[in-house]
Amino acid sequence: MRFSFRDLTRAALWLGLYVLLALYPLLWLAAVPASTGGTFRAELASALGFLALSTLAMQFVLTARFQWLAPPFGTDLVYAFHRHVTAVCLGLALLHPLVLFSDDLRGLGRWLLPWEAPGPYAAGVVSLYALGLVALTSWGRRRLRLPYEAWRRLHGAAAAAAVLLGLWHAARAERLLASPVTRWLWIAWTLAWVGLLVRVRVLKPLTLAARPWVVREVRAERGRVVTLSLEPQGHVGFRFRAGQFAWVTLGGSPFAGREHPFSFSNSAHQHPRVEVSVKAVGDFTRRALDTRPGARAYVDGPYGTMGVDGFPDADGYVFVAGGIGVAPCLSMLRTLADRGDRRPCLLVYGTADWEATPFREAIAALTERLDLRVVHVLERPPAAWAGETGLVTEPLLARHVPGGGRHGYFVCGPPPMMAAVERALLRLGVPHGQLHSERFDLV
Amino acid sequence: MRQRLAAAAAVAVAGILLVAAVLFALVRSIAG
Repeated sequence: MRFSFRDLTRAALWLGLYVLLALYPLLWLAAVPASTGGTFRAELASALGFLALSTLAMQFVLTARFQWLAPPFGTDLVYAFHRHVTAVCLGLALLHPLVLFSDDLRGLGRWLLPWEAPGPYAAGVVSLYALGLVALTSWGRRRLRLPYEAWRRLHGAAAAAAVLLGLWHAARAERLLASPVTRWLWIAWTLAWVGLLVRVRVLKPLTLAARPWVVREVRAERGRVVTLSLEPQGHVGFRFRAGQFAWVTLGGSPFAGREHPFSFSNSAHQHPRVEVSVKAVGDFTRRALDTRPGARAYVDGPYGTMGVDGFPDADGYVFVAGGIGVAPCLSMLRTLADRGDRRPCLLVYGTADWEATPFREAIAALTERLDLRVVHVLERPPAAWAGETGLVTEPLLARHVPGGGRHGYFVCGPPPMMAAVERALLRLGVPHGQLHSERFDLV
Repeated sequence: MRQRLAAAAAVAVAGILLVAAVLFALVRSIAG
């Protein structure tokens, strides 16, 4: 895995800013006069509690859909960081009472029952449970068979409860917040972060409600995939870059929390029309199959940093796609074709079987307009199949991926396939900076 | 691969925050 100096510098700056913001309340408390006389253990427990609450509150900025937050590493990495930081919050929040009660663990055990603990401490205990619920349901959503939409509602409510109860606990129980000025500054600082939830769950839907879209066309594709063609209603829509994605709500209200992220699959030059291609695998995606032309939709986008436009000087492009992951690759190929781009492109496309290979005709048509070579890889090939079979492996990629030149590489598909392909491409000598991928099934 | 970057960043954040907490407690307990 090779990172450029520029990548590492940007990562360090980004992380430095994050840590500084997370530490800000502690730095403030260290700088202003506050009650003294605490033992090392009491002070450490306080610091851990403050940091738990601070990092938990800052979780809201990571998912507030600020476009400027996505570079340099992509929207999916911001979400992955958000997911990993949950463990950090939980660890700090657990250490807080453990350190405080390290000489009286039996006492701590009693307080784990919220009704046994005095008011402000009970709030802290319930806050800890809410945080545990957030972590458990995020890490194990699939194992718990929790539908995405139900999880999303629970996630927002439990996370907000964890912060607000934690805040109340700190404001009432923490001797370092005895001064009203410090206490109110701390409360305002924390609530400012939590307020970002309002941006995603209230302000964004309000904006979306005023800018509806309509489903103009529903095309059934191979492999239980449908393409929904959407047009803005009463507004100009937006321009996207090929490879980007949007949060799409079908029917209902944008406040219902039924939005899902989908990559655009059409050319970026079809403004204002946008198309998303959906495979029926989950609750929302099955509903997409039943969508009819004329249906109302809401589109929050565009988001994402992946795309050929982020790598304009490439000698050519290599796309490695698995299943419906081909959608953003198709958008990039269609966009290149509309631009009359003649640079060589390679698409390595893994699917289960030939009959269920989505867009195979559209891809074949693109070979007429682009210098495009397509390698289909079938898990279950038909009897007379002479092409590649099985999974997209390192030896297979070594046979087809061009050596030399400065190519842009894009990997889109199911997470295990993406991880394997990324590892393989890096081992084959593809520089990290030329490898692009984004994934959205983090929970 | 890229996902590991996010995990590494979170581990780095955890480490820095823990050190900061210990330093905070040391300074305040000595000052107190």
